[in-house]
Amino acid sequence: MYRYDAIDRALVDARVAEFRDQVARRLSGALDEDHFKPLRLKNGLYLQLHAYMLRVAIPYGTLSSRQLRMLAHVARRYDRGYGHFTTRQNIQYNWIRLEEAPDLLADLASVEMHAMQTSGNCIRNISADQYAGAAADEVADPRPWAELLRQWSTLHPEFSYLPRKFKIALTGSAADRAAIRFHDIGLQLVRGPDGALGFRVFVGGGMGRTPFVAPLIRDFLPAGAFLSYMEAILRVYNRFGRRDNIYKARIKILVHDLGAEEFARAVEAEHAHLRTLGIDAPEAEVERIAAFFADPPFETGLADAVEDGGDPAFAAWLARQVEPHRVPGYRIVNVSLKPAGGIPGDASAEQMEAVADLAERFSFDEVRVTHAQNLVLPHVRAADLRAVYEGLAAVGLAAANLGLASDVIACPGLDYCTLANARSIPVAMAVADRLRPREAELGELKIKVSGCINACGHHHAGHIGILGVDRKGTENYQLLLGGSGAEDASIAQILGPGFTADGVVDAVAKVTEVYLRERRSGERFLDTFRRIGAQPFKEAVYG
Amino acid sequence: MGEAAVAEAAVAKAVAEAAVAETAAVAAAVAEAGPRLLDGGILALDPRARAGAPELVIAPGEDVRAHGGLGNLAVIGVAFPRFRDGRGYSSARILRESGFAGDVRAVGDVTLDQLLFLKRAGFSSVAPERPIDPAAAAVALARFPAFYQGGADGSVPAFALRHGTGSGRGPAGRNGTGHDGAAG
Repeated sequence: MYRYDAIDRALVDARVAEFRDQVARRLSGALDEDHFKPLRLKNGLYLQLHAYMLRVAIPYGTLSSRQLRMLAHVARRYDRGYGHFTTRQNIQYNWIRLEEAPDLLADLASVEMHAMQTSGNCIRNISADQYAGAAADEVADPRPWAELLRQWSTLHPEFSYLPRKFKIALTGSAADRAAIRFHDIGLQLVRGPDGALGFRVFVGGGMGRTPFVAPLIRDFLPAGAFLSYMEAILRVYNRFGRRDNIYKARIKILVHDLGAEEFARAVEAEHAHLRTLGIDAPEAEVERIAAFFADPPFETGLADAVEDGGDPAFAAWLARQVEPHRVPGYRIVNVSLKPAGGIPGDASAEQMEAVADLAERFSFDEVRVTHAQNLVLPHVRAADLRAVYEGLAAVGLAAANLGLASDVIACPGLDYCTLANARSIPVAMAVADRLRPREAELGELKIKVSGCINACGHHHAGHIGILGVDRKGTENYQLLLGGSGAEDASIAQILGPGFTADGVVDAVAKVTEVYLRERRSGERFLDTFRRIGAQPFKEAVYG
Repeated sequence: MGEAAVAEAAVAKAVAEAAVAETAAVAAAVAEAGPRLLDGGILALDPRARAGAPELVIAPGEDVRAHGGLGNLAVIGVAFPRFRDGRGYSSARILRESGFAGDVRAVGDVTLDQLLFLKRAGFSSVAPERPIDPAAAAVALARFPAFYQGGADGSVPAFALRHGTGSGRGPAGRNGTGHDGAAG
């Protein structure tokens, strides 16, 4: 993992001191709310329905045990004993007092964490493949590049008052586990024809009220020109992105209005200039950062087989939660934060500490957070899987549902969020409860629930998406089918008129029945939908 | 590593070194002059600040590159009708990148909490709607010992400090010995 040096530390400490001063000026009245708001947002602090919400950055979803224990401490000391992992690999606390926020940030700084730029119209926390450094299919590790981006984007002098928020995701594999094409910039590490490392650059993806799958604007960006090219994209956006309408201010609208080719031309022209200005990190800096992500001391010659000992629950967990690792004898373990009866993505302080302990003992001290609101222990010896399973089961985290119907993504919705029009959590839980008995039979089925058009629950990218809206003062839920946030990215289509909360659960059950009836061998729900189209599903739901 | 990437890296390295050398002199000059008030409530951020009204004020939506012959002007204003509209930061940097050495002034809704970004984007003075206390400005501008990016105020990026090509600004000192080398 990356460790702070004196510069990183001094910067975060100075930021805490600066925010302490800003909060004091706000509390004394010297700073008005209009001018304070962007400052607190850029420190992760939202004013929500019941209290302040603090969003803490988990850079590219990586945590050490020590950091996860601090997140547990924050949950106990400043919140009500739990935290909520988000669809951008961050964690949110919903019950924060403004006066205590500077102390909280100082606690985070003590373990090399911060909440900088987790909100506001700036470059947000960088997200990445949760299997980075462990995936069997990885071309190159995205984490050093993500860290380079974290540093480059932090307190950027030119890009701290952008037209709108800006999100960047990276992956080092062809399989996309980071939903890169739904980001403002999506980056895929690839090898060029001569073996050199570079990026495929996608720009202008997004969800919200106008969803787009990001077009490719550069097929191969040499790694040495990485930061200057990012700078060029951001400059074109900062100068020409719309600022007259908040709903048209994301870069996806600029890219769409100009067309991907014209946008790419503008970026290339700006890049020709910027790359001469010393913006790109020298190779020594890339190597310095990469050294932090060197392999942990993996053992060699380990047995690769895993015995389930005839225990069906353990066998089901192995089959569902455990993925291949690039080093023989090791596995990637997915920890479900979607237990029956639980709120998607929530974890108690005790659960966080239990996972931190398991990571320390069995995963070289590393934990990852996924955009699907689960956790990952990236480097577990095959021989330790049983112990990890039992440790997780002891705190209620041994559900075997990765990618299944009950592994629902949901935003906080109207239970917490001021933007929401409808509740998401109860609907997500009801859908999960309804489908759980048949979820093994249903196979991979990604259900995503948002409580408003802003789409934090990624409903556009769900095989089944649910969008809560406000219809004449009552909660109404639209059903969408056929989306994907993976390498086969697509935008889900609205099936028809909306439903009540109970009605949408029934409708979801009906579309899964159509799938079971129509599917061919080996087809996932998404494959069947793509083959037969919306009509049979419409007939089942509205007929 | 392929040929293209090697060439790319060599360019980046040479360019980084040149930029660091060039900006070091400016940084030294800037460091000795704190923010001070000029006539008319104008707050000077660095020695390039000049008294007097701007000869040209660039609006947020205006393309700064469309103007020719700016090099003869003493003061160029960049308008901030609303502090949240950040287009002026790009305008200022583009002016500095084009070699403009006069005063670049932020005019309008700019407050204490934007000063550091403004200064690093290349602004040498501000004409704020509401007065800014120079003493508070001095504290705000001195708060951060280093930054990750190079600035148009002559500050060098953290990577230059780390790898010994820096000007000595920041906690890492001249030879960039700032990092602990802690692996993991």
